[in-house]
Amino acid sequence: MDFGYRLRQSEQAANRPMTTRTALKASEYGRIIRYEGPPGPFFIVADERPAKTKETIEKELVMAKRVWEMLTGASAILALSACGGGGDTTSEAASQMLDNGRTVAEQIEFRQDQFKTFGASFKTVNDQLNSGSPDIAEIQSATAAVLAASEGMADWFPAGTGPAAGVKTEALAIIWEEPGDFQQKVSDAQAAIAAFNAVAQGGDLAAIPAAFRNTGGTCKACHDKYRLDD
Amino acid sequence: MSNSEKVLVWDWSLRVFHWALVILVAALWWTAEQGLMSWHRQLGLAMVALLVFRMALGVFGPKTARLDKLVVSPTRIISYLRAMWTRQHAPSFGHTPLGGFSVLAMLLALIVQTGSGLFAIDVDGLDSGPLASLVSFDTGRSVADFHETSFNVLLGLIILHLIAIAVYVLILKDNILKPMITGHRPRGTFSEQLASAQVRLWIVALAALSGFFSIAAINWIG
Repeated sequence: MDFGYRLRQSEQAANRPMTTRTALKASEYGRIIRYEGPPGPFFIVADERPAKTKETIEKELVMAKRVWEMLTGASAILALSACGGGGDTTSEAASQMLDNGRTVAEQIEFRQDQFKTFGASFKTVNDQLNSGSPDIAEIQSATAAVLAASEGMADWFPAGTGPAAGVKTEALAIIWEEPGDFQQKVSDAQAAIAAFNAVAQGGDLAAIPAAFRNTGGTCKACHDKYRLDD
Repeated sequence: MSNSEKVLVWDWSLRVFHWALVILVAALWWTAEQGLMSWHRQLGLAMVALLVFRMALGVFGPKTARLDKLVVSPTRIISYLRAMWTRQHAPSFGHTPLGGFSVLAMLLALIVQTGSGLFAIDVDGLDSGPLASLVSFDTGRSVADFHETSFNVLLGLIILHLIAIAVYVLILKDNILKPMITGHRPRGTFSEQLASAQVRLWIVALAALSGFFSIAAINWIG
C-alpha cells in the first residue's frame, strides 16, 4: 500500500521503514519535525538531523537563561520607573497622595480595616445574643467599638479611591457617580450606629435586637448598591 | 433465561438519600447565590443530618450502601477501566469500582463543604454558620472564603458524575439512571440479592435519628 509518504534516504539506508509512530525508537521522538503522510496520526517521517549533543543542549539552556534574565530585569526596571523608584510594585494611581496624608492604597486599606472592625464587633453581638446568657458588657464594648470606628465615615471614600486605582477594593464606581445618595446612606448608618450604642449602653437587653437589626439594615442598604457582590 | 426478572440494587433508604441530596445541593447553591443566608443556614443543617444519615447507612445499612465496599484497590479500578475501554462492560451489583471511588470523593467534598459552612462568617459579621461563635471573625472569614472556593470542587465532581452517567447510558448502553429511581435493574447475570428483609427498618430509623441528633448537638454547642 502506498499512502503517499516518502521515507528519507537515511532511513531507507538504515533499512528501517518507519510506517507508524510505534516504529520510532524513544530517542527519535524529539526529532520528528515533519509529517508527509496522509491525514491521520500514524504516518510520520523522521527528520534526518543528527540528535542534539549534550554540549548543544547545554549551550541552548545557557542562552535561554540569559534571555529570561534580560526579560525579568527589564520588567523590574519598568516597574521601578512606573512608581517613581519607590521600589514596590503598586501602580501610580495607588501611590497617589491624598489630602489627608494617606496614599490611595493606604486609604483603601484604612477603610477596609474600619469595616472589618464593624464585622468583628457585629459577630460579637450576634454570638452574645445567640448564647443562652448574653454578656451585656461584651455587647456594650462591641457597640462602642463600632461607634468609634465609624467616626468620619463620610470622608472614607475620597475621589480616586475607586476600582480604577488598581488596588483590590469592592467599592463600586457608582459611589462617585451618585455622591448625594451615597453620603445620605453613610449618615443613615452613622445615626443607626449611634442609636444602637445608646441602647446597648442603656443596658436593656430586650431592646438590643431591634436596634441591631436597624443598624444591619442601614449597612445592607448601602452594600446592595455600592459594594461589589461577592 | 428470564430477562424480565428484576433485582433490587438500591434500597429505598439510599434512594431517598440520593434524591434528597440532589434537591438539597441545588437549594443550597441557589440560596447562596441569592444571598438568602438564613435559609442557607437551615438547609445546611439539614445537609448535616443527611450526611450523618448516609454515614450510618454506610456502616450498618444495606450491602450496596456500605462504605467499606467503596474502597477498592487501584489495580481493580485500572483493570475495570481497561475493560471499559474495549467496551467489555459488565454491570456491577451496586457501585462499580470507579463509581465507588467517585462516590467517596463526592461524599468527602460534601463533608468538607458542609463542615466549613458551620464555621463560616459573612463579610459584615451579620450572618454566620451555627458554630461560628467558636471561632474569631478573621478565622470565620477565611473559612467562608474557603467554603466559597471549595464549592467549585464539589461542582466539578457533580459534573463528572453527570458525564459518567451519560457515558454509561449512551455509550455503554447500561441504563444506570433508572435503578436509582426504581431501585431495580434487570437480573442479568447477577447472583447477588438485596432482599428487602435485609434492609431492617430500625437501622434506617436509627440512622435518621442520629442525623436529627447531630443537628440538635450543633444547635446546643453553637
